[in-house]
Amino acid sequence: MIKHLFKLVWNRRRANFLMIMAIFFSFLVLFGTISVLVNSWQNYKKPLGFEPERIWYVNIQHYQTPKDEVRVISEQLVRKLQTLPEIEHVALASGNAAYSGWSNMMGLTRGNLQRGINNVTIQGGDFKSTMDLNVVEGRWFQDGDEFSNQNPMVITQDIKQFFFGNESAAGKKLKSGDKEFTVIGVIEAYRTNGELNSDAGTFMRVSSLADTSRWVENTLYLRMKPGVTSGIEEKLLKEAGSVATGWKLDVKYMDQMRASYMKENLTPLLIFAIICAFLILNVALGIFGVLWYNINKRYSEIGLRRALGATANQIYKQFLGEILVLATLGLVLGSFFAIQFVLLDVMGMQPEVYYYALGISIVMIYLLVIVCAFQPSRQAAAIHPALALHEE
Amino acid sequence: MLKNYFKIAWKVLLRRKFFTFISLFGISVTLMVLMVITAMLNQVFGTHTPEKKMDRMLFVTWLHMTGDGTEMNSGPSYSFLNRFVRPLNTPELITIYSSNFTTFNFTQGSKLNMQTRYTDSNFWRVMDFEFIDGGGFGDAAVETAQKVAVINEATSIKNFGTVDAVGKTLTLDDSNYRVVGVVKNVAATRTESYSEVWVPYTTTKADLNDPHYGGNFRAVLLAKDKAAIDDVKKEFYGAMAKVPMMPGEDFTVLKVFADTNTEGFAREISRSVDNEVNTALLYGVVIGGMFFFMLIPTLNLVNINISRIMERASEIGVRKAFGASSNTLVLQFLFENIFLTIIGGTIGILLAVGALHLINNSGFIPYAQLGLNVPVLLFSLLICLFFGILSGVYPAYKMSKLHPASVLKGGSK
Amino acid sequence: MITLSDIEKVYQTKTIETVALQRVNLAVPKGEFVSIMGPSGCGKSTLLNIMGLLDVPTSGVVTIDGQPIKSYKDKELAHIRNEKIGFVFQSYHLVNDLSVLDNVELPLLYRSGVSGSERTKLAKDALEKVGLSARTKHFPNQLSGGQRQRVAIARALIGNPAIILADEPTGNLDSVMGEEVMNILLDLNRNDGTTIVMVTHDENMAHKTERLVRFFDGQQVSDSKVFDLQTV
Repeated sequence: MIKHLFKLVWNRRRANFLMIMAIFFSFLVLFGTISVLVNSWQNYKKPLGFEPERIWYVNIQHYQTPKDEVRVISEQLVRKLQTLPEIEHVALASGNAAYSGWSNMMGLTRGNLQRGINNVTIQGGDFKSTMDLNVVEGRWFQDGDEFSNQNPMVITQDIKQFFFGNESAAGKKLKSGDKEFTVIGVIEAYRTNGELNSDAGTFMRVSSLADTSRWVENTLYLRMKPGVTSGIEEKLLKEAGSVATGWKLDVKYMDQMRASYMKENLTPLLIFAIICAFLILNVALGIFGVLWYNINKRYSEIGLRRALGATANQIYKQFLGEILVLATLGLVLGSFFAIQFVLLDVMGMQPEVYYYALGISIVMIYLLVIVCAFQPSRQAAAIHPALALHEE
Repeated sequence: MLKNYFKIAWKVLLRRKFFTFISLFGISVTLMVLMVITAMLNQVFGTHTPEKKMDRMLFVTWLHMTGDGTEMNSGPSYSFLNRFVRPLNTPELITIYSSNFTTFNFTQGSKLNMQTRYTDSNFWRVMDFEFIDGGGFGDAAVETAQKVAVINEATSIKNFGTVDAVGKTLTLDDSNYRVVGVVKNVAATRTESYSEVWVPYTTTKADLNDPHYGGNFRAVLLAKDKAAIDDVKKEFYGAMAKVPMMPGEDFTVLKVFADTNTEGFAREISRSVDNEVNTALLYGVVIGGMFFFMLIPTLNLVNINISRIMERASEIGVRKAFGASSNTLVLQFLFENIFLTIIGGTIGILLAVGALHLINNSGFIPYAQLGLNVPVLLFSLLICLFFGILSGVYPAYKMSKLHPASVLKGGSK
Repeated sequence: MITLSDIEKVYQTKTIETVALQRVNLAVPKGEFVSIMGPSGCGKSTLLNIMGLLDVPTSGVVTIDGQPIKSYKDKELAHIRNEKIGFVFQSYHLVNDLSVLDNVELPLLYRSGVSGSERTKLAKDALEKVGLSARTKHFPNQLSGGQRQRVAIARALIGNPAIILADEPTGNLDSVMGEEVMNILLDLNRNDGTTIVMVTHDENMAHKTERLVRFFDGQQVSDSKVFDLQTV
């Protein structure tokens, strides 16, 4: 029977060509959209590594304060903030946090392995407690690390996997140019590109404000106590101003930063999905219309088949089968092109994303044509043979 | 004759309501999407306020330095632009201004954030803002660092409850500025002019003399006319090639670019560091994308049209048998199809108006004023005709090939 | 082979009731070639549809090959049609998108337990019987009317049915082709003993068969051996 269906479709190839093309293009659009969605979803599922709730992200502008004074005042500012009752934890570090739009990449090597990695410098306060980081191996920084000639570093789990596989990383060395770092601990994650984007991994190091060879980091991370509202911002700025006269503290709330990041990143996805849904709906309606017309045109063929001993059910299956064969032809063609995309890695995603997307798109196209063909095929099966064969 | 065509077309469309619905749905939504995209492109790239002289503008926004395995990308600093760009001769005008900073005040009891730019006085000559009240600040105000500000309509209303704000005092980060002008809101997609507050760059607390090349400023070079753009570029790149490296830094290569608006966009996407950026690729992607997007509905329309014609095969056969020429029938069909497309297009325009209204009110793009103007409408009309003809030609060809005898006999091939 | 007892068929619409067949009794024994004649609208097509189990009688019993049809369930009817009955139509009803060979194979497609190679072999045999073995790869629209009808006959034959029902098989053909098709049917009847019931408008064709039944207004008006008529 399947051979018979292929024959029918093949012999009607000219009439079917446009339908196959429509299925082919819808498949490509669907595949592209679903790849993007699956990619985002897979990123979203991975742990973020920190807790953005109740974090205030404060950018400092020192203006024309001399550099030496900046170091002293920054230190005083961190200490002052730690004493405020509304604040749980404070840290001074580089500003390349998630949702900030900043990045700071640095190449790390070990033997032949090489990778550009986001790098966070911590200069004061307690960054681990502030961001609620999760140490999974080794230890976090402790006092004195900022002066150690071993250049201690903490890396994220994905970096550890990349350089050390399943071995333990603690105590091992990584190089950047001539400088050698010692891994002292591994944290679960610290994704600076946000939850919807992929991430190159992060390593962290500490430096002292007293070290004049390093520049002064200008971002404060404040973990507020639960229940603290934005209403205390003015008071907080006054307290800060009493130490850091003339500086500007630009306060942003990380949950708001996160919300607008989500909005910015989800909207294109949503637009993509809506456009894709529209195109698919368009094609579905078209397939439905054409099938419906085809069945009217093949009225007498249906009557004949019934006369020759086909049951209503067999007619139903035949029409459904034909459209499935058509869909299969479109999908084979589509998958061929889709696989080219994957091999050329046009969209730069993990291979498994493409396989998921391929599978989902194929299933969706089949479901779509089955839904479209359901009613016309039922109609075909209901045709009364005596009437269909009636001679004019 | 034309009236007759209309009558027949209308009847035919009513006869197969489902096919007509599918066609109209496809056409109208496709056109809606294309119109919304066109309106957005026009909002971002079009020549209108404040960049009315867009075709004479070159934007300097990106500084790229490499050396010893490190790479730095940022905007240029004020001192860099002042030292190396300001002295250029070919541009008619040069304006140097900052990117947007967030300033705030607590005067209303709650925190009010405002996007603020530090600009020179040329900014008001290069850009053509629409002033509701007052005007820009002049050379004297900038030289003497007067605390004056131009604000947009929304900021005026938020701070003062009125657009009649000239002379009022606006607090920005604990400093008091006197409002000298109120302008109409500029959409955030106009990345080079958009802001909420504009103040003289001399009033910044930051160190303008900081000799580092990287910073938060940008410049627009205004050529005398469109043809002079290339001369400006030539002088610009000539001058940039002579810029010495900053002493004490490891960078060995410095690149700065002067791009038109579209070139700048293409560069932002491609991250090209060549002096001339390839905009053909950008146009190719946009046009290709639109074409691909239209491809599926068109295929669908062709499919439906063929069914529509074949269903009428016997009618066509009778008409032919009674002496209608293929040409008449094809013409009738194409007319029908364009008629259908235009109905779809009209619905599409209405949908687009609704969609644009929705986008404008969603606040997703601050101060968006997406609208359908003449170019957008003309473009839509063009797409409509393209659609109508493209989706009609192949079915019409098939129709002209229908043989009256075989059709009347009931053969289906 | 096929027996109709007290068959009645009434078509009912909202406003009128049309009696298509009225108390029809007809028995066609094995190996007989019967013609049915009558003016348009006399119910002969309805009769053929009921004999072919394409239509359900309002009352009465159809017996095929000794088996009375008790249930008119779609699946069972389809099975009996497939096994016992072959159809030939005035307008051939070939599937244009299938080759001659595939058209002939169609009935076997709906029969379980016939392999692909077996189908092809049987189809070739059937085509040989109608003298078209050279045309297996052609498509219906490449054939003349007579050839098409011969393909249709091959299709009716392939399942080795107990009875062939032919609805004006020569109605669309000119006299030469009509003759050709008629001869094939006569050969089948004489040489293979196939039972055939043929509806026709053509007295000449009808007189070539053994028995002629005339219908008028849904009623059987005469039933006679053909040679009797000729002698009268």
